Amino acid sequence: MERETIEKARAGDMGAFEAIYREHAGMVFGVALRIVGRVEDAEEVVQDVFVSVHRSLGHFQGKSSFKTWVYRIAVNMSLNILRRGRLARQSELRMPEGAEFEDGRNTFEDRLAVEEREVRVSELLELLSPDQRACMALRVSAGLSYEEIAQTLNVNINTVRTRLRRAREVLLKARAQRR
Amino acid sequence: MDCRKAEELILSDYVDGELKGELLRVLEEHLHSCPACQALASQTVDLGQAVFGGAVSNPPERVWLAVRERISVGRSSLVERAQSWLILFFGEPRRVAFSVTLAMAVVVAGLFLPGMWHRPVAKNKDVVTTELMLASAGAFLADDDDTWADGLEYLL
Repeated sequence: MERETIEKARAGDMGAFEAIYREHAGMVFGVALRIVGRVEDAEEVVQDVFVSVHRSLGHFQGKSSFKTWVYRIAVNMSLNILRRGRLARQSELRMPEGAEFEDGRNTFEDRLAVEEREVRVSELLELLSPDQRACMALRVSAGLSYEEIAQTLNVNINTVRTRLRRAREVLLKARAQRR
Repeated sequence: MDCRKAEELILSDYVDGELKGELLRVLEEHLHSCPACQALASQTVDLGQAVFGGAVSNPPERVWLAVRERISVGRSSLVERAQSWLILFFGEPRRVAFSVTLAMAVVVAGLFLPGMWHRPVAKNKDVVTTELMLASAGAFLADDDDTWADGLEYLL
């Protein structure tokens, strides 16, 4: 993200802020979806994140990268929603009602196949702790390095390493038991 | 390198491309000669991609419209603002709650603990009360011809 765009958005230029949103919304949505597990909740996270980013732009000092800063807000808000939501219901990764595939695959079989896969993914996600989900989402979905994940989550790099390893052990064990 | 050490590296640094230098060379040497560890590396990458990978499209346009509306109307409450600031600076709500509780405990301790070590008032109060009672009893005995039993009854 160009410094100039951030400065413009900070000065109240809504067009510049929209450019920031367009550049980062996809990655925030992707990470949030893998942490919270529900499309509706992930959309809520995206909303909250960008409202928060807009309010806090004046205080972004550029000590960390803009991307890391946005991810930090996204992860914290996702974990917040996940913990709140877990008390009320089991998470389920699914398409919202009335949603359509972008490529036009909307036959019953298409939807069934995707929903079956999403249920399996959802079951696997449930096995991981929120912190493990966050690390895996930042590593695999967002492609962040260990150093960037450590900065985003404000933890030691060895903690990142351990969380990723344990998450993978859990997933591999669950898959082995399923077979 | 044995399989146990190889497995540890495969499940984190190796599949994430964080392994460098000599350790990477030794692990790759092990992988060439160990089909089980090779399979583990392949399964780990596949499973991670299956659960956390895959293309995720942008959120629907209604999300941006909602963001824009919330910003322009500025309808967020003071509580929402405070919440987002706390999350921004301190992290998750659990950490926020812990930090706030800890800060409050320190303030309360700072205000009240020093006073606990200097509480002469209560002690003096007891002394004064006893002295007054004895003086009163003395006066009772001095003024009249009452017996000690009467004085004791007066005290009690």
